Amino acid sequence: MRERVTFVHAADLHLDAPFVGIATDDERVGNALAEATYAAFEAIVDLAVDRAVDFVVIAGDAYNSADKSVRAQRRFREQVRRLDAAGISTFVVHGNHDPLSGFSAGMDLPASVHVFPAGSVGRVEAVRDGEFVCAVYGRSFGKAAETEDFAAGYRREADDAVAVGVLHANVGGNPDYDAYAPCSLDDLRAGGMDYWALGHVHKHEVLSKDPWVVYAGSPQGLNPKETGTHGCCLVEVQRGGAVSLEHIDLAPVSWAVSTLDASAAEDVDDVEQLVGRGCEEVRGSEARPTVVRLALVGRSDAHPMLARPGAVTDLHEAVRREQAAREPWLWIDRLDDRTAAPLDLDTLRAGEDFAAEVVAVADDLAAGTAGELDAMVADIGAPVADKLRGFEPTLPADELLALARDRCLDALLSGGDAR
Amino acid sequence: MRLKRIDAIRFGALESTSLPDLGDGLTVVFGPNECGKSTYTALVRHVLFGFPMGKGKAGERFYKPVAGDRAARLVFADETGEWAVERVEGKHGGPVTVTARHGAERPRLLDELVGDLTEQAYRVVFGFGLDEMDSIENGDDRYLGARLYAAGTGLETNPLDVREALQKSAEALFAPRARVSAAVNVAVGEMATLRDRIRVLEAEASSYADDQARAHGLADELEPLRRSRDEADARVRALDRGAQRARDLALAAAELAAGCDEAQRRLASLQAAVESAAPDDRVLAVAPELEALLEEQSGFRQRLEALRGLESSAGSARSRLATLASLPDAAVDSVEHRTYVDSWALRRGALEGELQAAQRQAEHLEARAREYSAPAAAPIRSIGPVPLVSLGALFVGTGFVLGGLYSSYWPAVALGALVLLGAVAYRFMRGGAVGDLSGDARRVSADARAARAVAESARAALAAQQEAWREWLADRSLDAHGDDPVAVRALLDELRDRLLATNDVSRLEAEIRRERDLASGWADRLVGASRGFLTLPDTVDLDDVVTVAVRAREALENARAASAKRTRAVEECETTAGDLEALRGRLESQLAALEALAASHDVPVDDVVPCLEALAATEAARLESLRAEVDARSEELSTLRGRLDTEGRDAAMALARQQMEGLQSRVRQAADRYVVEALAVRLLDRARERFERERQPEVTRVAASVFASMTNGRYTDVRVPLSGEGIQVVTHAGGLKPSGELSRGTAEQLYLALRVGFLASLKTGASLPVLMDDVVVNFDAERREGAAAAIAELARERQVIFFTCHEETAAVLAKAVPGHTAVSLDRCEIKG
Repeated sequence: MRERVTFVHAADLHLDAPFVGIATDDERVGNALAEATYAAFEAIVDLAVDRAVDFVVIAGDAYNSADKSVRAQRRFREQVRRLDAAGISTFVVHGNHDPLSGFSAGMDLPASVHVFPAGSVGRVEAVRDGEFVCAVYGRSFGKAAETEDFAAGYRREADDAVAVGVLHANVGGNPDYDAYAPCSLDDLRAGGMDYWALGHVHKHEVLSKDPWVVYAGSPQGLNPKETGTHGCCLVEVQRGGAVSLEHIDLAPVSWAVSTLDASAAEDVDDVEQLVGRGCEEVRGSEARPTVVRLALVGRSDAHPMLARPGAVTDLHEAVRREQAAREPWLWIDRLDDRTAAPLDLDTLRAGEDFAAEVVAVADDLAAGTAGELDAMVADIGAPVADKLRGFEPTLPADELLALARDRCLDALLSGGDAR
Repeated sequence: MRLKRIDAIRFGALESTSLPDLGDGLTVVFGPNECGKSTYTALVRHVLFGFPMGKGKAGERFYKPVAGDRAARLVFADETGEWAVERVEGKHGGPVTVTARHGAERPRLLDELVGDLTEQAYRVVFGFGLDEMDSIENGDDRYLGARLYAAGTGLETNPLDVREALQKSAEALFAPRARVSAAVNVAVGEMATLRDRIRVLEAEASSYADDQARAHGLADELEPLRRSRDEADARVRALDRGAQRARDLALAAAELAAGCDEAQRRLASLQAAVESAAPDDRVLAVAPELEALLEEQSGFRQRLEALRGLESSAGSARSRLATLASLPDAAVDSVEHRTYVDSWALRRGALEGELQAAQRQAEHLEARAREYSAPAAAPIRSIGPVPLVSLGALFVGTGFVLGGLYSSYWPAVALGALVLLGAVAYRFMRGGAVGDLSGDARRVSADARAARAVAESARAALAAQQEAWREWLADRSLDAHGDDPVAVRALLDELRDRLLATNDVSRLEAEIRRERDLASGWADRLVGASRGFLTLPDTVDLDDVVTVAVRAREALENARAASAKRTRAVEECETTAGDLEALRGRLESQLAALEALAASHDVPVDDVVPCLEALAATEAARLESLRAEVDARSEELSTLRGRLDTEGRDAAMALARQQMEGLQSRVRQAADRYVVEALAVRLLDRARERFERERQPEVTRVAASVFASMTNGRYTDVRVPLSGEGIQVVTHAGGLKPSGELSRGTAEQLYLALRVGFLASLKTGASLPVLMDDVVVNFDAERREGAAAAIAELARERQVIFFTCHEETAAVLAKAVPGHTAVSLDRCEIKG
């Protein structure tokens, strides 16, 4: 019996998954994004091989079955074959994105890859160099939407010197994620595992250290919201249960969101400089290829210029081209103009002219029953939703109203350039 | 600032005329028709906005003067100065200049006056006549009224324009009804296309496992099928080849059989030729010898010619010999004879000389002696004979010696030596005696005698010598022609000729014999060789031998030709026979191969070709069927493999999904923007509705007030929508009445009221005068007074110039504005 066990805990590889909400026509960026999930997994395998870990656990969602990407499954096989060649076993549970009932290309995986069954918790003994290392427990999703609590099925056997539970679940009811295989920390504690290798939540999180309940997070952020570090966990469990964990940042592409206050900008040149500074700040915090979303906010003298047709688009293109050409590249996915004209609404309200009427109407709508404004927005959005299934405005109604009001005021007071 | 005067330098019918001293408030310009009221109104507008050019608008008047270019001037003034704004004919409405008459220069005065007022707005609001009254609602610029109205809302921009722009912006983003150019619609369309593509790719991916199994199955099926196809293909090829081979073999066999027949015929022909070609073997038997002889034929001919020459020479020699036949046979020519004859001739000459000398000596001495007998004869006698004899002997001896030495005729040398010795001896013996002679007579007499004796001795010696000579001649039979040495020499010459001729004859005869023998030998051999095939006489004359040779040559050539011909024929026979043999061998081989081929395909040899063709056709049909089957499965497999080529598909799928994400992002952004724009439109509509309902702007309030005043309260209010269309009035009963339902006069009152309202609220054009051209002509007296009151009110704020040709109107206005300025115009002469 070994005194300590080392393994890599990875989850939510989402191989070949598209990057949500990202549009890029830049070949280099496009290729990097297309390869990002693969590169992340490859980095995990590199880590496992370099550190000569005893095994690797993948806590679900290795790939998106719904994407029906044979390439993802083949590339998955390539990497687990590398682990196999290095004598490292791989323990896999399937999650809601790659349930066992989902699309399978029928790839033959090496014998060292253990895929846990659906329906019940399986126990596999991890062996390295012929020596028992630890017991690994796991249960795969049989279908995409498993709402059953899987945790109850995890029970450590008495003889297990070290036990690791691998689970794809929403622990503690994280509202940002689907409530699949829901369970609580207490449910997990009842299982008696030394380490819970969790998957499903894409952000790395240590829910508990007694026992260790850890979301490895996705090795690669998959949408603009998944900022921060992404990678896998390098875990060492001592005999007796002491755990040391290191989260290794492996994501080949990072995400960033930055809000730029354009209040002081007087013209488009000022805004361009502001955007440049914003990009440099992002570069300062990320030394790897990064996709960033920038939003210009504030009441600014530059607003009328930005509001001109194509002004922001031209600025966006110019800065994006420049940033994408640098090394490492920085892809400005969006440059949102949320600036407003430098208006004093109170002064306008005090007036008697049509602008005052516009402000008054907007105020009445905002202060009135929420239903009226919501109905108005819904009425406007309905034909869009007919064409664009499931469409709902990104912003809440009151923010939309404020934007619409400012839009009217801009046009009414700017001297006629309403477009 | 006010308009102080109007100068028409050249403008329409007006030239060098002015409208001076215009008042600050109301100026009533009274004048009859055609006095230029409308022209002045237009002049002001054109100086401010430019002369109409080119075609201009429909109904536009150009006011071109009869002579010269248009030119007009407006003089403005305020408390700081006076400025003339003058426009002359030129491009772009004509250049305008601002000249300060008093005060500071104000080059931009025109811009200050006009501001952003358009010509149309000016025409509608500032300078109008009856014709333009309704243009405030129904003019070319349908929004002009609205914009003017909007100006009264306190905004720089007409809300209607803003709404239109926002609406367009929203529609550019999204159109509920399909509009291909709207951003959301476009993106949605692209998304639908992309979604279809993803569905196809997903469908392909979904069938991956089935496709793989099917592909394996197809591959398994294809292998035996391909084998069968390949085997069938090989069989078809083998049968085709067999059929072709059979055709080739049959054709070759037929050709070979024909070749055999041909060879056979040729062989027979050649054999006949061999038989027919019979050379003369007798000739051929001696051909080498004959050929060798014939090669010597030219030698024979030469020899024969030489023989003829020899015989001719021999004949000549014989003839010559015959002429010498009279010569004594014993006589011969020899060197000794000739030497002797010559020595004789010499000796005789010497002797005769000595004799003659001795006789002359003797005669001389005798003469001297006689002289001595006579005194005269004494000298002669003193000369004795001894010296002469000795001298003669010496001479002769020396001659013999020299001649003998010269001719190597030693006897003559010896003889000469003897003569010399004798002469010497004689000298010694006689010399003393002679010397001893003395005394003339005696000695002469003695000498004479001695001389005589010597002469006699000489004679005797000569005679003796002659005798000896004759004897010598006789002994040698050389005396036939006498004893004269010359004759003898001639005889000797003849003898020599005879000898030569004899020798020639002998030699020639010997040569003739030898040549003849040689020629006869060749001729005999030729004749002997030819006798076997030529009919020849027993003896053949040498002269005929050439003919024999010609005949023999001819026979030889014929025999040789015949022999060669036969040889060739024989050789050809052999070749042809060989060919024939070979052809027969090949024919047998082809037939054997054909049989083997037939046996190998198990078909009768006689029908091997059609049988094999039939078999090949059957197999080819089967092959086609197999091929079609293989192709179908291969195509299916290829399609499946294409689908199984996941890298490309997955890459395409990933790309499509990413594009979809991009499109969704784009479309959501566009949709969000659309919602904002559409919401802004609604906000604007709602604000406008409320504004129109609750917050009538100053323009409407003033207009309503003026209108109510003019109509004496018959109408209490005016409603002007922001669109500028559909103006309504409120009756005293509270009812709404569209402007279109008003009488002309009432409508004109409404429009005038609206203009007054506009003019009251407009911030722009504050310094511009308002020019009205008899606009109250259709008003009744009551309303005219109301209108005059409104104009008077307006004139308190603005400069108003009212043109009229109606005294009543002028009176009403004068009454309404007591301090007004009145200007009278006379009817001007129409010049254009």
